[in-house]
Amino acid sequence: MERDVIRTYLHSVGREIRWGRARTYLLRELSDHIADQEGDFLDQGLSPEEAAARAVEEMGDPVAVGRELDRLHRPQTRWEIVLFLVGIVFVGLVLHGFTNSHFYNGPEQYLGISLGLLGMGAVWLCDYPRLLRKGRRWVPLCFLLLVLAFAAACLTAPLSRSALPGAPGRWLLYLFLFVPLLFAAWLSARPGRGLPSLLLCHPVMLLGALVPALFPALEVCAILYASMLLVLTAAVWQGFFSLKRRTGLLAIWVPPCLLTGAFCLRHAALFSQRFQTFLHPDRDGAGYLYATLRSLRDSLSLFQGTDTGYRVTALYHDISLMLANLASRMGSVVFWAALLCILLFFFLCARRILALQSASGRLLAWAALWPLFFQGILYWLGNLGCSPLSNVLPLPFVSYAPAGQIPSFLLAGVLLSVFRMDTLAREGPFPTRLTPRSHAASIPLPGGRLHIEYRAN
Amino acid sequence: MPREKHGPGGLGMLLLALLAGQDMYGYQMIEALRLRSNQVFALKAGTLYPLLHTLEQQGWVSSYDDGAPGSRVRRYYRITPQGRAALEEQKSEWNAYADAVRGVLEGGALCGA
Repeated sequence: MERDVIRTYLHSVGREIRWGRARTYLLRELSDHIADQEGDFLDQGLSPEEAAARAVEEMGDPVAVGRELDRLHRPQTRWEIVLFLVGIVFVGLVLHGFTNSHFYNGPEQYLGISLGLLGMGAVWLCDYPRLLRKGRRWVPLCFLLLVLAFAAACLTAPLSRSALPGAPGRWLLYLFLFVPLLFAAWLSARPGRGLPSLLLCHPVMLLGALVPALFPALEVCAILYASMLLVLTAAVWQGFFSLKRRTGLLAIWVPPCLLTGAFCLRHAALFSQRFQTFLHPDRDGAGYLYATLRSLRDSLSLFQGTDTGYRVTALYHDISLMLANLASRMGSVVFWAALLCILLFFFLCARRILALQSASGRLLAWAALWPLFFQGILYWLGNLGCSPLSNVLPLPFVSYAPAGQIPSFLLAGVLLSVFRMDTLAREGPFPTRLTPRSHAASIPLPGGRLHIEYRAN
Repeated sequence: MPREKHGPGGLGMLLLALLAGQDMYGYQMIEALRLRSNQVFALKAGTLYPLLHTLEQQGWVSSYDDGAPGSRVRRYYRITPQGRAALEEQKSEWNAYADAVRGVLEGGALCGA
C-alpha cells in the first residue's frame, strides 16, 4: 500500500519528463530521496503507511517538480547559430545574382541548398550520444569503404581538377570532410592510454589525410590533417590519454613538424618552384592568376570596385573566385565582410563548444567545426591571391554546387546536434567514487564550530 | 525558478556552502540546511533537485554515484573549483549587503551631521 503511494508520486513526476534517458536517472534519485525520508520517519516511530505518505508529502507537488526537471533535462537549441546560418545562406543566394558567372545555375543552387538544409535538419534532430555509442565500432569499416570507393573512382577513371564537376571522385572527395568526425568518434571510445596509444594516432591521421592526394587535392589533405591534429590536441587537453598535457602536446605536434620538414627537404625543388610562383607571380607565366588577384586586391577601395575589366574577366568564369568577382564590383568591403562572417561563426561555435559538458561531444564538435573554418579561410585567402594552395574547396553555405554544399550543411547539423543534446549526454554511467575520499564534518558548538576531517576505509 | 545566472545567490549559495565542507547527497543537504538554519530553511525535495541540477549544468557542482545502505546507489554532489570561486564571490557580496542593512537598521550618525 505504501509502495503504491510512492509509485503514484513517481509516475506523476515521470509523466512530465519527456526524455526517457533523463527520466530514468531523475526518478531513481527522487526514489532514493523518498527512501531516506521514509527511513527517518520510521525511526521516529511512524507506521510504514504514515512514513511513506509523509515522505511523499515532503517532496512537493509532483507536477511542478516534473515540469521543472523537464525544463532542465531536455535538448536545448542554439537559435543564434541557426539564424546566423540561415542569414548567410540568404545573403549568398542574393550575391550569386551579382556574380554573372557562366557556370552559375540557379535551380541547381536552390536544389543544393534545399537538400543541404534538409540534411542539416535531420542531423540536428539526431540523438547523437546514442548514435555514437552504437556506431563507434563501425568507424574503421566506414573509413575503409570510403577509401576504397575513392581510390576506385580515381584510379579507374583518372581525372584532373579541371574535369567534370559531377565526377564521382569529386563527390567522394567532399565526403572526406567527414574523416575528422570519424577520427573523433574513434577517439571518443578512448582507444588506449599513455604515449604509445597517442603515437598510434599519427599513422591513422596520415592515412586519413593523404588519401585525397590521389585526386589530387592537396587543400583537402591540408584541411583534414590540420583538423585531426587539433581534434587530437583537444582530446589530450581533456585527458583522454591520461598524459600530462605538455607531454601529450609535444607528442602530437613534434612528429608532424619533423615529417613536414623532411618531406619539404625531400621535394625541395618542387616546393621551391611552387613557392617562387606564389611569391613572385609576375615572373612566371603559371602565376597569372595570383598576379591578377593581387592586382585586383591592390586596386580596390573599400566601397568601390575596379574598372580594369580585362584583367578580371577570368574571374567571371570561375565560381571558386566568387569573393574576388564580387569585390571587383563592390570594393574590398566584400573581403572584410566575408572574413567577419567566418570569424563570427567560428567564435559563436567555439564559445559553445568550450561550455559543453560532454567530452565526446566536444571532440565531435571540434571535428565538425575545424573543416568548415579551414574551408572558409582557405577560400578567403585564395580569393585574395594569398594561398599557395591554388585550388580551393567551396565557401561553406554560400558557394555553388550541391556536392560541395551538402557536406557543409551536414557538418553544421552535427554541431547543432551536439549543442542540442549536451544536457542529456552522459559519458556512460555516472562516475562512481572509486578511491577513499576525505570527509569533513562540521559540528556547531556554543563557542563556535568543531571541524573534523577523516578518511573513510 | 530563476536561473542561477550571475552568481549563486540565495539558496544556491547556501547549497554551495554546504558542499564546500563535504560532498553530500540530496536528502543530507536538506537535513543539514534545516539544522544549521535552526529550521528557517526547510527545503522540499522538489525545490532542491532542480536547483542542484541547475548548479551542475553551470559547472559549479559535479555528481557521482556511491553506495548506500541496502545495496542502493546514492547520487552525491561535489563542489567544483569554479563553484568555490563563485561561492566566495557571492559570500563577499552577501556580507557587504548584510553590513549595509545592519547599518541602516541600527542607525548611526550621518557624516557631517
